[in-house]
Amino acid sequence: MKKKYKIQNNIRTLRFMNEEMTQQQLAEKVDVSRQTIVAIEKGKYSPTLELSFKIAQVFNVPLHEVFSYELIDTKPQR
Amino acid sequence: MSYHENRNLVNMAAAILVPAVYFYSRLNNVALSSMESAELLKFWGKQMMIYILVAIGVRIAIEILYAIAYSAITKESVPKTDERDKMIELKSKNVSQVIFIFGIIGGMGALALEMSVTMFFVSFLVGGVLAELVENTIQLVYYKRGF
Repeated sequence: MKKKYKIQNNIRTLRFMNEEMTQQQLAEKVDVSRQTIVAIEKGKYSPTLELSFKIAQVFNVPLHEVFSYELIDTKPQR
Repeated sequence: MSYHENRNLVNMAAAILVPAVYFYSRLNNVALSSMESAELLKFWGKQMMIYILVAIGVRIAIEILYAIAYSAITKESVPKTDERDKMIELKSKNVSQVIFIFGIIGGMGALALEMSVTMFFVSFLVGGVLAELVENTIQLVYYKRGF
């Protein structure tokens, strides 16, 4: 069986818990564009380790509370 | 559409219009078929050198004018380049460079098949234009999808 993993994130939840921080505010804090935050939240773009740490630092939580590597799909191996 | 998506469309239009206008104005009333090979090489070499300078100048001007127009119309500052932009640029350049190389190989093929020197430069130029179009199209797709 082929296991497929994906980087998942809790940025939306963390933003909500941090005084409903906007995507723009987070983007400014970590020095990227709002579109990049949108892409990360949707799971379209996996950020670099440096940006991941910056995001975790903004929310004052460890990295594994922001990002996780999870099994999303299983397909038979050809 | 975002700043980057619009910029890609502007770049695609410029990729077609700049060489089209330049070479139309330069090749108009020039009898290439009556030139000797050495003369033709000198002509194309000179035209390509001038074109590269013109293209760079026009691109810089378009980039500045577009940024000014974007700020004036949307009342937003031009977004800074971040790591996602760099990744998108890198991915699109990987493909466009291959296309450009095919243009050069096509030109060398034309010379090997004893075609005119003009064919070498045309292949070179078409490869460059196609590479730029593909590069901007790929970037546009990435920006539309998010990545």
